[in-house]
Amino acid sequence: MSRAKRILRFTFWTNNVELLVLMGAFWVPQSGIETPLLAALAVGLFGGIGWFLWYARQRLNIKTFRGMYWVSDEREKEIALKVHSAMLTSGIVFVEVLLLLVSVLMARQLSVYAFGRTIEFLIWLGLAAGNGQYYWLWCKYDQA
Amino acid sequence: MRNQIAVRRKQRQLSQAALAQLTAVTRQTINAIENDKYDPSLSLAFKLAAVLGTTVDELFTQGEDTK
Repeated sequence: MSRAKRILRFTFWTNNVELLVLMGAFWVPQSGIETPLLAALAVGLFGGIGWFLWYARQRLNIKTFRGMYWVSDEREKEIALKVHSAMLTSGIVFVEVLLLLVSVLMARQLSVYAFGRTIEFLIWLGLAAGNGQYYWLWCKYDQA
Repeated sequence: MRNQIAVRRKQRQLSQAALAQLTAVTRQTINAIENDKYDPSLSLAFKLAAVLGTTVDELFTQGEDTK
């Protein structure tokens, strides 16, 4: 497995964990145990970031996070550009659909809380879909 | 674009990984070029030709694209 693929797989799974943590944070206000849960989330978050940086530097040999740091040669750079181009299009479509959904939700005259919750969930869904799409597209273009 | 990389590489008893190291690309890229899945840049084509002891026009020929 190439270095780029190992980094891709690692970031895909760490993003998934991050999304799960975010999902957990969404439910804190409803849980009634805000303080201990938030403290646990904060400890988990800082611990997770520390582990991520250690693993990236020690195991994946990432020296910098600038530019396209995960690609090693011209073919991988070409794959990254194709994936980013597709992701940009998807991102624009997502924002357009989100704006449309906001109009629909406003017409339903939801409470501020319900409105916020719905938007929060839709954005979370978009992030999760984007993470999956990035991984899937890279694997598709990398097939050789 | 068709190429003679696999043939030349085997003649020189080089593995894909060794050729990749000599041309500063990944093994997957050499594999993709050999299988006509990726057309290398001019700079990489010259590097491959130099390492395999041949010229670019001997190494690459215009053929049916399989991509």
